Amino acid sequence: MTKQPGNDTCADCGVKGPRWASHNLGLFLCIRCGGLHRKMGTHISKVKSISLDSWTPEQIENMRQWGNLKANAKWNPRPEFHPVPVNASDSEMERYIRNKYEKQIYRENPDKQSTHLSSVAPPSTPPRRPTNNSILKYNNERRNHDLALRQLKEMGFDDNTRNREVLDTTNGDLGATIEILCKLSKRSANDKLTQLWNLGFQDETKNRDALRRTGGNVEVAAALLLEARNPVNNNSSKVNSASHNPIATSQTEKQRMHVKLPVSQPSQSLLDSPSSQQISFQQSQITAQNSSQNLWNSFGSQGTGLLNLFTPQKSPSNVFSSMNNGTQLRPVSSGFGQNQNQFSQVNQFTQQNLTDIGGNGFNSNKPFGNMRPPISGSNGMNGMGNPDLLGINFNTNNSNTHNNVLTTNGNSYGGIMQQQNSMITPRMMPDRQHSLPNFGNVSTFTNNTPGFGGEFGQLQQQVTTSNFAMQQQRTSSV
Amino acid sequence: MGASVSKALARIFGNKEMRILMLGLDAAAILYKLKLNQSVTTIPTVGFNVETVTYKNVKFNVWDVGGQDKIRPLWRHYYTGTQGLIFVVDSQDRDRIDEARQELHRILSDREMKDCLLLVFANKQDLPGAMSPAEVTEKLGLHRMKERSWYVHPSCATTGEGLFEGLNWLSQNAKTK
Repeated sequence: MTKQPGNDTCADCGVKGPRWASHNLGLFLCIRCGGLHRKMGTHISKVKSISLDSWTPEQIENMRQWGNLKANAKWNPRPEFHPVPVNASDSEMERYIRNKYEKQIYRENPDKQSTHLSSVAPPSTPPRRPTNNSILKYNNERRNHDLALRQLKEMGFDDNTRNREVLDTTNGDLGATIEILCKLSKRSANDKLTQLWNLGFQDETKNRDALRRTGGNVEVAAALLLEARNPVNNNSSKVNSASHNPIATSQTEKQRMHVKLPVSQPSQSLLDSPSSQQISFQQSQITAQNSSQNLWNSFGSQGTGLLNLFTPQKSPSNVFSSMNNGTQLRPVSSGFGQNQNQFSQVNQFTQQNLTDIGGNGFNSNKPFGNMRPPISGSNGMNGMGNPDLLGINFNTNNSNTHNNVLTTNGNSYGGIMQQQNSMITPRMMPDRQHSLPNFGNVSTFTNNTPGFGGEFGQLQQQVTTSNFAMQQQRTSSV
Repeated sequence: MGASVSKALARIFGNKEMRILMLGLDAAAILYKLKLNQSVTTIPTVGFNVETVTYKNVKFNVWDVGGQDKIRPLWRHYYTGTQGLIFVVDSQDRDRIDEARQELHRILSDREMKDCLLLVFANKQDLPGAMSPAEVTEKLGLHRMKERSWYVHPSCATTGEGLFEGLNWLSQNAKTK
């Protein structure tokens, strides 16, 4: 059963090869998430080791009925709104797991209690009374919210009340908040399009273009479109400089150097994942300095298709700042149309190379996973993977890089679950296990060898020898 | 030389050592709460954890051994020299209290464990619907145990409530021997 798709990774954090399971929820878990489930209590989740515990036929049947995919579709049907915290600390992960199963706030229709759960947990269980501790925690969260609000503001989400509302609903999860806000701003972009339409500008492509250039300002966009109709001074570069951000022209030489790096050595940077990480990190630095979408525009106009290919793996804040600015952020269409062929070539090339290195534990179908820097959150992937978030350009002729990437990689992002799998980035962190707190557990046990039952003799030996080693160590340290 | 001096001092001031075996669900959380006095997120114990906890001049060497079904036969290798058994019961898990009773009696029937003290932590008292210590006592069939000193104490590993009281009982009852 653990070989089945979905069950081969931890249902909560996505680490490969789960050896534990919650037999009432039907989830396959890693040992850390198993520990967190156990901490919630058996009224929520009953955790067992797959190999070290004995299983009743009913428990196995329940596992078969649910499985990770089905269970996640129930407990977190929209992982793009409630992403799994990546590289999370134990407390972050605990909060996520408690939200998911104990508070059930990620569920779409929590009224529909499943028979499996209701048989275990009576829905009338009283909530725990707040202790001093939880009040303290609440205060801390409040303070964190303030910090997050400030960050959001810096990213360009100006509506403070809306920011706070969304933050509250996401329990202070900054990543999720940003995504929701992006989604909302996308919606407002759609509204603006309708406004333009109502004003009598009925060429949708031009409308989008105008909105993009004017930073979403409907009035200026309308003026621009009007101008375009009466071709007096219709020069796109002029328009560009007329819009909000004059910074783009003043790039320093140093930044240019960084920018050019991947262009001059595409094959190396793609094959060598550390170097690509470095590049993306530099990119993120640049964007952080500029904090402006115009940099990306300038990439587009330089015709550096490869760089655009890198955009999805920016550090989260960049993704957010770019996504916040919505349509305008995407590379200028003129720069893109010309380079389309070039892109698809580059993309194919990428795919091929990554397939080559796919053997070392990475999944070759997810090239972005391989190239992602460790610092980036899951949201970057969401932004890329979610057709919704890609927004309104999806069906137009202005094919942008994101589109391109999606199609040429042959990745189907159709089902939510599949999407989640690609987002959680389990395969990119094969060494996650090592970050677990190790309290002197004997590692020979952790391997959970299948033939465990019959090999006590050997194990006993291991245990006793390590006993002595352990004891000596402890006594000397005490 | 240094060792013998400290031994002599220990004899004068009543310092002593106790070897404790701790078995049962989430014993690791209790162990690290005792050791570090902070609530740590533990993973299920596969293998064992051992820590030394000093409380009221008594040095407790506490062994926490993983309790998955198939590795329970390994418990007996830790019995030798054990002066106290701490058996941790999940007070909220009524479905498995019977299993806990069977395991407890199996442990105590071992020849090596015939003299050891029994402390039962009725753990997870913070959760809704947790069994009271009296209920745990009854369900574990402790009243039938005549020739052993045992003690059931409510506890909560996350807050640390009841843990040191349990150790206190262990140290006091070890003195009388």
